[in-house]
Amino acid sequence: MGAWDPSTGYNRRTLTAALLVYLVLTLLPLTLPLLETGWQPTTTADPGPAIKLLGRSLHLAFWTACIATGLGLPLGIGMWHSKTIVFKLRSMIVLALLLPPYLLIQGWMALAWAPPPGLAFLHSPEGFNWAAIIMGTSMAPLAALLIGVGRNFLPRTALESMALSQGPVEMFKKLVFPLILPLLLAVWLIIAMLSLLEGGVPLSLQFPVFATEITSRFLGGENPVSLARNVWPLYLASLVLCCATIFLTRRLKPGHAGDKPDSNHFLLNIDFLPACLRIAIKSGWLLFALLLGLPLLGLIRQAFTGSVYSLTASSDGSAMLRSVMLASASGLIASFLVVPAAATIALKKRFWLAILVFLPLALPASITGITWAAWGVRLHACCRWLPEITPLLLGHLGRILPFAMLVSLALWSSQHHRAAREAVFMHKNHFWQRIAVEWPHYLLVFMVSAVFSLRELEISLLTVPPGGETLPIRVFNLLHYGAGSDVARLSLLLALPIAAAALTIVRKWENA
Amino acid sequence: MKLRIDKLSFSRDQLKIIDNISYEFATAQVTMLTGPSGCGKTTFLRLLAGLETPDSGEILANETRWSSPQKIVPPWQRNLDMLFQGDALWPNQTVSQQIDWVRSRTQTTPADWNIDEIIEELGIKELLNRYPAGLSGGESRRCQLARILAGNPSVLLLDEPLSGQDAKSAAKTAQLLATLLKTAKITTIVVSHETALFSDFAWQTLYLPDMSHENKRNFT
Repeated sequence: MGAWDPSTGYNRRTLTAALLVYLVLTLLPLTLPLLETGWQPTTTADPGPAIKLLGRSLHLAFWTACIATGLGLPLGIGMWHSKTIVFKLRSMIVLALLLPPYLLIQGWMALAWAPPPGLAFLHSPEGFNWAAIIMGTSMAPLAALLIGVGRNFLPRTALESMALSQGPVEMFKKLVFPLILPLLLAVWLIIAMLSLLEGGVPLSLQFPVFATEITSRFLGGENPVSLARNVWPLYLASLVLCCATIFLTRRLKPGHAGDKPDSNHFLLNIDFLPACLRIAIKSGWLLFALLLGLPLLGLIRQAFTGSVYSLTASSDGSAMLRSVMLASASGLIASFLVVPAAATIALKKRFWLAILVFLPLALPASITGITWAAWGVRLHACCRWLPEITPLLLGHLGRILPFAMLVSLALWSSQHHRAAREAVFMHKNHFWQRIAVEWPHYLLVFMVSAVFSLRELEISLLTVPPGGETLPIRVFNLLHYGAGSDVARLSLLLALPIAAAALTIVRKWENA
Repeated sequence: MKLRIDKLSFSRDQLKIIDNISYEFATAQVTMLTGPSGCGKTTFLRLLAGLETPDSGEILANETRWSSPQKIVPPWQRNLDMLFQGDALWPNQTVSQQIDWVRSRTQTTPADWNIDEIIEELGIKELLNRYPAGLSGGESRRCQLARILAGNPSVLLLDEPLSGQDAKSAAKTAQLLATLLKTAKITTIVVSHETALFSDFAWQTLYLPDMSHENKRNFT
């Protein structure tokens, strides 16, 4: 076969190498039960506690998905029209998605410890209800963005014709909702799957679920292979949710390119809806703003009103520097791996490959972390020259690559600058010209990957070398002593680069 | 450049778009390609440009294999250029920067035309310092055409060159192309539904599903 692949614009060897490295990095956790650790199972494990834990996980995932979809639906509908406040504040929605959820925990904690007037009834967050509310709030922006994308699945001409003959309410009832219903279900399933695998929030709120149990038991010294072999109920549940999501999203067919309503289309303005629906949608916006704004304001208030500044450059500064460097390295590697790999799937329409690359989304972060910790020891044994943070970096990559893949696939599928890119190929020595056309795509994947790496807690906890604290670990450790001012300042320090990234992502997405 | 298509087939999503066609485009001929919507005219140009891989058959240029299911010569090694239906201007540069960039890469002998005159004729002189985002559809296509002509390719593939232009601009562009292509030794394939505007200078018109001749004549 020749080297040039016309449908993707990359060298075939580059595509194969990128895909192989991607699959090795993300699917390595599947090797955990096969690792040789000297551990021999003596008795058959009792499935009782595992099933009970799974029940707790599913219960939490169900309510988290309901809260997130319930909050995300009004926000998503708001994102359909450019005149709504939600559309104008879309950078904030992206920021809310990228901020780590433990900042919300910390904010609620700050409000409960030193309640402002009128909020004295707040208790320190812990347990199931708080876990569902905090995870639901932190995942609502994801639901909103996905439902916002749903505008592309609406046929403009059909909407107009229905609105002319039946009115806008009937249009929403008979056309819009049936068309976006599979998307809504897919959103619910995605969030349920992600919540099922989320360990950081329940761990911080002392609500043990399956994902937290894996981390706790590994940190408590349990054999990783035994852990991996007992984790199958969680694998199975998340795999079922993942397959159902892929099946549902396959049924979604975007409308004809020229027949999509744009964000200025008058029919998508909620002002056309009856007053009761309008009030319901706007109440949803307000509720989300409160659930997100209150803890963040609490966090800021605590950061500026507590004790005198006592962050230290040696511990906090170096943790920040380590986190930023780790995020930059992860983002850089992820963008160079994911962009060509995603082109293979999106432009060559390889559905089976899509299933394979999204399979790691169904793996708990804790298992990824444990695997890389176990492999890290082996890597060091055979290559002593490798830096100590190698397992940390590889663990982060294993976790963030599927999310980066989602972003890159969305960009390739939109094919916004396809003709401009292909026009570059007509000329010799076009490397820099090609970079100039493609760099917004690489930048976006870099930003998303870097932010996911910057906020990653679970994998960092499991793979960090001694004395190599990252900023999220530092925040997490300090949280055990309560929501102090210094922790709040550290969290704001962490939020700063994330906010900058969110703004860049929104600006560049529209050009990419 | 002589282009030969030999038993070329191409399908997408199990739908046969190009089915076993063979044809030979002689050097410096202007061929107009027509046919019903969805019959694969654009796909045929993309196959010639090296942007798609055929399922079977091959494309040869001066008896050198350009495309076959096993091997594709990359577009930048073919000395051709294509006017795309979509917006193919590079979003990061002004029109004049793009034209200059293409000119700086031209290695073949410049054609017997003056790009400044072409810019004048196409009526895009005022648009040279603009970025693509500030251009209308018709303006963007004329700028793209100027950029392509600045590169002086041996093979020119024009996909609906007059679409999105008003009647006056379309007639002017067609006239300009007629003048330029009559004298230049460029093998040109034009996909267009505007048969009347191109009939003056197209050497032949082909009907795509089976490459049958609608008419064939010589300029001489």
